[in-house]
Amino acid sequence: MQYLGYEIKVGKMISRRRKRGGEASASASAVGCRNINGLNGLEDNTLAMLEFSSFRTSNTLSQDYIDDRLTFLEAVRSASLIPDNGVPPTKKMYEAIFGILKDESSLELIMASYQLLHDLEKCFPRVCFPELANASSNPLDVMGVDEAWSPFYFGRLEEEMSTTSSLLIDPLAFHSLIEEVAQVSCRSKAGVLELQSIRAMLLLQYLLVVIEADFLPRTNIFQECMNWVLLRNSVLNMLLGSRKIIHKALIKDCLQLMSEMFAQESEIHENVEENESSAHLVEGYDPAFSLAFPEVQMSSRASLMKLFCMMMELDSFRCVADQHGLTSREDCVRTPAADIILDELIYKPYLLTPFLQIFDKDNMLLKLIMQYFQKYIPKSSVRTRRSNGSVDNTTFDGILKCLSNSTTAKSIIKKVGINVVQLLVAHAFKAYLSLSLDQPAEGLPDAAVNVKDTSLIEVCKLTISAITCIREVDKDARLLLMLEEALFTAATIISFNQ
Amino acid sequence: MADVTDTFDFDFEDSIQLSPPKNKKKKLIGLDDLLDDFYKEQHIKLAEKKSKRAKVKIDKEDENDHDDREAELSKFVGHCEDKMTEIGGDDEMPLWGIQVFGKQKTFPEVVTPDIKSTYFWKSITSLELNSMVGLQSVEDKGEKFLEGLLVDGWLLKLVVACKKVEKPIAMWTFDLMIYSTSAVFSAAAYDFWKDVLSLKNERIEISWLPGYFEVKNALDNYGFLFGSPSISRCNKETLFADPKVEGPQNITALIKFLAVCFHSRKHLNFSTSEVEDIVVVIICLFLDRQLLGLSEKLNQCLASIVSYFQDDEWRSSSDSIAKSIAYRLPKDINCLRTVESISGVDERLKQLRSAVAFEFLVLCFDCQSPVAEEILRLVMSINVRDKTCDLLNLYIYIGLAENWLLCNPATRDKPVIREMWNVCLKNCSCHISNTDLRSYASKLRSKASYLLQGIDNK
Repeated sequence: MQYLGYEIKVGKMISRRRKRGGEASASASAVGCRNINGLNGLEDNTLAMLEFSSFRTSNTLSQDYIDDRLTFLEAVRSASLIPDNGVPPTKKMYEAIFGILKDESSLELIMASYQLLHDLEKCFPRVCFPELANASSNPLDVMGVDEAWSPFYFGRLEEEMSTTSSLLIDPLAFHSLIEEVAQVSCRSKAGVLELQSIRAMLLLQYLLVVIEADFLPRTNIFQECMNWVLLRNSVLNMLLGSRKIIHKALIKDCLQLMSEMFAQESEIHENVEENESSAHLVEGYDPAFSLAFPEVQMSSRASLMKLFCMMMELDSFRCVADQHGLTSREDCVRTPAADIILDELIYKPYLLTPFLQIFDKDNMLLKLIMQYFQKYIPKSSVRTRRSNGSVDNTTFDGILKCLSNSTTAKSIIKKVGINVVQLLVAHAFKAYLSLSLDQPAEGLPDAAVNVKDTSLIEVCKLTISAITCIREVDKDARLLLMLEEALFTAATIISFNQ
Repeated sequence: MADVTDTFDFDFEDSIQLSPPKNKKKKLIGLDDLLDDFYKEQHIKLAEKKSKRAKVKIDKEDENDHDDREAELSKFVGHCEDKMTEIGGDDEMPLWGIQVFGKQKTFPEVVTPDIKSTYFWKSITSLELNSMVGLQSVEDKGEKFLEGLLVDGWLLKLVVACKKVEKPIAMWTFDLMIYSTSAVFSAAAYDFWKDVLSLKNERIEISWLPGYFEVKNALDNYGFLFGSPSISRCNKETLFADPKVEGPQNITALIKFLAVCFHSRKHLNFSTSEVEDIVVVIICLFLDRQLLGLSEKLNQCLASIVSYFQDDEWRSSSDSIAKSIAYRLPKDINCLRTVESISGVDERLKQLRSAVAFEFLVLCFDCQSPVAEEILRLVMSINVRDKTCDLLNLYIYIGLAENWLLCNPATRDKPVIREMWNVCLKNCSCHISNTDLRSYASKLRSKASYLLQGIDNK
């Protein structure tokens, strides 16, 4: 693997020498010296393909125009990805590829540029660390962070954004992209706007891939050696901390987008036949869209979920950093993402079903649902041990026990509503099952969700009794199908283990 | 003359009708002939006059409507100019694309198994629990309940808890995934299989697994043209013409399923040649424009299947895959698309890309001794100065050779090959002048000089 970029010292500036003595793997310098002519030549030659010929006509792209761009993408691929010692594209080339994804209106171009950016991401990691083994005794000092091209722009001044970088995404543009995806996917039912909406979703997906590729290695290092500065400089943290956007509004819009995507999918499900007959009547209808659209939507939904997870993880790391006194005034205070999400779910109950259905990170989901309940369980019946304002130490079976008590159950149902309680119990139980069934050997990763003390059978029994109790509190209410299924599953597991 | 007076003596009409003597008739016909000739002459003259008049008339009209026609003409010229600028003064590349799917067959009906016959149902009824659960209501819901279990994800938990995927459940979910018209069921069934196949827990018993037969059957039902999907669709009209042969929606689920299936490696009953066949099918799918939006999924699927082969069998498998693709697909612009669509960064995919490009070249030249030197000699021997030389084909050959050599360093780095390839490129870049007006001349020239510069820079 090739690393690009030069090392930037975190903390003291020590190892200029290391940079210059650059082994093949620590690369920008090496690449720079050896291949500078080759790289420049490559840049000129490939970019020439774009300027070379044709004009862009107003609404339809000529085949020639598309071909030139495809040739360019293919040339970048052959230069950077196929050879074993391929060099990463230069910033200008990256920008040209990104520009194609962002602005062109041909499905072929959009798919090809997305695929290329995706593959480049895999081959040339965003963040590189000099091998820890070599990095003398103290890895803290030698965190190399590369200067690779990034589609994000965090400059403070508007003027800094030159003409070339105007297509980069600043936090404001990121927020409006989320809004755009939500809007376009709303209108795209007629089949006309599908290309725009596919493009917007793929763009969003790519940005989230970049955020993730930048975030994950930093969290790994953080867990190893508690370097908060690394996480502070992560794209995700800079994005959320940016003053250009309101962090809370961004999260709310993400939730809204997710629920819209969910609603639309079920709508498509209901009107399959109707859609099929009407779609063909639309002029310019391309069957490729109707195949691509559901798939792209599903994967953007999944990457949106990933974004939620990363936000919550970032918050929990920040908590740890706070406890170790690593944060400073530079880190402005933010409401944790989990709290914002929870509030939204409480005040907009229509978000609850889509969220619970889609969110598949089981331990986080279980934690969220427990937090939800903790807000409504009367304090007297819960043992609370507060540690630095963080999560309440209640266990899942503790909550089930509360629900099995008819007075507590009654008061919770009164506050929350019977359907919400049913949904929450069912999903919490499902998340619990996934955690305990899928990795029985490892136990549960998260200490807040304490299941080691209680056996699976015990939890199943508690679930059944909680459900029975809910049913008794409100005899007129019908059990939701989801809860009936939970009941059935719990009973089966008990009977199977007897 | 006497004859004539005779006829005058008798009743005129009767005599002619009753006994027309042959001689008389001749004479009478002679008269008629004269008359006829006269009329014919008159007619021709008239016609001539008419046409003359008409010409004059047209000329007059022409003058009258001169302005309109001029406007029309200039509009037409303008249109042509637009076209010219649009195509940049060069011929457009033909579009790639072939029809991979024919008419879809009627899908088999998906049979939902009876929930009462399932393993987990049997264990539950024996207990006092069933009163608590209210099995009666479950029973009333019947297959709806089972579908609910699947869609809401409980089925997976049940299967994991019981450590068993029964045959009816496995077949039902597979059929739902492949044939259900409901996107929700299809997606839920795919999720179920994905999770089952990627479970870390090894102790799960799966009583039935789909094999090559089921996959082939599904493709067959989708209308996949196994024989020769090689009808090129080279212009936009036919490419998007017939919505009835639209690619089936469930193909996405099948592609994703194959990716997961070969990725998990665990429980598979495919023979090597069957897997090779599937790779060929997947590569063919790249050439259907309707599946353009699925290219990412196709890529993942291809990478996962290719990684399934054992190291020792890969070499021969990749060759046979390449050969069968080259035989199957048309030797036109689609060759380039085929090669370029095998685009992963994985070592094996690169190798496959190279092999496919090579086999295409072998077939394009109908090469008797398929060795590298021979192929390049054939490419070199094409005289670009020859007016009859097909530059589009040469463009395709250069593209294929580029991909073949790029992904095959062992061959590329031989000095002989390097030399020959250089000559090929120089032929195209130096022997075609930049004023050459033949179709594709400038495209070929710029491609060759770009590649040449790449070599020089190294």
